[in-house]
Amino acid sequence: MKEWISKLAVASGPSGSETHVRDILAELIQPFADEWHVDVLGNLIAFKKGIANTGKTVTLSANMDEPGIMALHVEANGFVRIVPIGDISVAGLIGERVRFVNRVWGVVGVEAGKSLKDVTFADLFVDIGAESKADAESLIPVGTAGVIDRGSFELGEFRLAGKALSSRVGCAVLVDVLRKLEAYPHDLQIVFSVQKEPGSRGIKPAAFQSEADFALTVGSAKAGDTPKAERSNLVLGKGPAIKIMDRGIIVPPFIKDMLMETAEQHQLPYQLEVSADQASDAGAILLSRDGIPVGAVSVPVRYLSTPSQVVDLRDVEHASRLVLETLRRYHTT
Amino acid sequence: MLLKRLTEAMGPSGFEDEIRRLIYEEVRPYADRVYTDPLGSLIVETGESKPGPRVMLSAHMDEVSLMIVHIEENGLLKFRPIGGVDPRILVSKPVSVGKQKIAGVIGAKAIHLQTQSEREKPIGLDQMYIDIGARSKEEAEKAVSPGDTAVFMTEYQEIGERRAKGKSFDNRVGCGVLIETIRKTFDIPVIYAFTVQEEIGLRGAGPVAYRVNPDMALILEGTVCFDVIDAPEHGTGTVMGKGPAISVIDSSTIANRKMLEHLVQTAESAKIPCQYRRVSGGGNDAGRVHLARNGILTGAVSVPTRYIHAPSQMISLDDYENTIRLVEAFLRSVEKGGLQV
Repeated sequence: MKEWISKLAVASGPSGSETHVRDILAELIQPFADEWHVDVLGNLIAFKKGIANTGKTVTLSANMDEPGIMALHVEANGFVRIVPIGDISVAGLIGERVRFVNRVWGVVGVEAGKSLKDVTFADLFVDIGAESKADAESLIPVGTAGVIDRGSFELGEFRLAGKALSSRVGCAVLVDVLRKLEAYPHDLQIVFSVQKEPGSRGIKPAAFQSEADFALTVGSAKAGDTPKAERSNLVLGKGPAIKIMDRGIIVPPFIKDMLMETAEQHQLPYQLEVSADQASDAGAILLSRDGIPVGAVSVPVRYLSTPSQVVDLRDVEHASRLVLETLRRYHTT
Repeated sequence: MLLKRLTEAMGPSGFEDEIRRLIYEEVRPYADRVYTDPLGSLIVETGESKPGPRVMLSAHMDEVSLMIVHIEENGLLKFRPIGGVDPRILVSKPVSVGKQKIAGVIGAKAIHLQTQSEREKPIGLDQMYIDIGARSKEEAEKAVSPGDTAVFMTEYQEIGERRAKGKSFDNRVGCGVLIETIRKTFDIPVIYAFTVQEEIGLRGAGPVAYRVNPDMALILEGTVCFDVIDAPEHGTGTVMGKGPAISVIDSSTIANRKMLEHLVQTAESAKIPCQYRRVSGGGNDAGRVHLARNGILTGAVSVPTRYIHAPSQMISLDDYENTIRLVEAFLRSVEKGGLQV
């Protein structure tokens, strides 16, 4: 799984422009899905037909997007002005190398004379090496999105550092589950959703289409095990977190219990996630149509809103097993 | 004159009766079917028997406004804004209160009486009131009740070179574009939606999109235009006179690339000037429409509007007319199969 995670993490997928990461995922799932399609919003939705005609649909979802930037204006001298997509730090962008989805590179500069704490996006610009407005406009049409470009690398024995891990570990878990799941009684639907970062947008139409009887979202949660970290009990390497609540959902207790019981039965390590300041796609799934029972499994991630996130691969493996065993448990209940 | 009638009509969010009635009279002769939904949005169907794709054009008809919340013993009216109103632009503006359109003026302490520190701070909502000339609470109560709404009393006027000032160009320009468009005939089903309660959080558009369930949607708006003093080039949002503004990203929507590129190409091939809306703040009904049901292919086109949400807004009539032309060109292109879902 480590290889896919790295490949997925390096892929570019700013919210609204997820083509690159979606293409990789489509290739990964193709051998294991009966069919797949991309909907109007860009969600990648795959199906695996159930063998028992139970009439039930189980949906697994993970978002594939990441925060980024968008070019909104090109100045006379060829500098590109940008706006944020999702939660991306202004100060963190200064001096960064960015890559637009059309593969054009850029360096982020800031207007002189601004103190770091007062810098806003209006003070930033991207230098794409253009010498004129026309030159720049042909390279970066208005509306082109991009991300901070970072490779990923192994950190210590079990860990991985890189950008966009917070969403891509969930994607990797879904691929892994789909590979490992043998014939399943219920119809299974795998949703790789778009535009979670600006507020769980893609999952809304995806959940509406799914008409799921049961759903699980796999994502990430902020770890609290670094020096003077914000208060959080999540620790890297101690297992995936079973979500109790976040800003958008209180997970129905019977689902949380089912996840915990599954973990205990299979002796999988787990932690409990209570996120006061994070949101996930689970909240939007819960409120879709007449309400969809949904649970969530989160991989603890350090340095969440930065281009150098850190995850523990053992947590990812355990998340995958927990999801797989929960699916198996669901079909017997 | 259509824009005059549209902008001078009253339509606070949630109280769109007057503007809806006016629009209804305008569109009725061209409609196969007209109805309102439970929230009050007006839905006008044309060409439903024609082959698809079904296109929804949508414009909100409500406007930012004020609501009377309390009548003081001395007959003055306390109020709160409905929608995004900057309290600093309110003082001394004439307003129309309630369905009877009682004349009033927003009052505050005279400059003579203000202390130095008061002069240095903008006058807040709590220091303002609407004065309808009543001498007592009893007198005011005969004309006004808490819950009544008030709108700015601004006459539409064409000024300068091809420009117009008035209230509520946001979004009566969108309503005007739809009305001008419904007079034309298309070979596809076009549903015209005049939505309610956009200004208080895009509330009307979601249920409309859910009900109509179109194959694609185009939202018509009036949008920010700050092409004036002290604005850097990348901070203007839009530039007046440079044509309809096509949305790229705002607080509610990241534009669908296919729709965005199609709109730009449509404008280019029809030789209609257009520009990008180059600011990420603000949102419009597209935010609800594109997420309805299975997801709807949606775009947004706006008329640049200076002094938006203020009592006296300004547009370029050329931008308005070019927006009407762009919408027609868009529908013709869809007719010819130029945009597939």
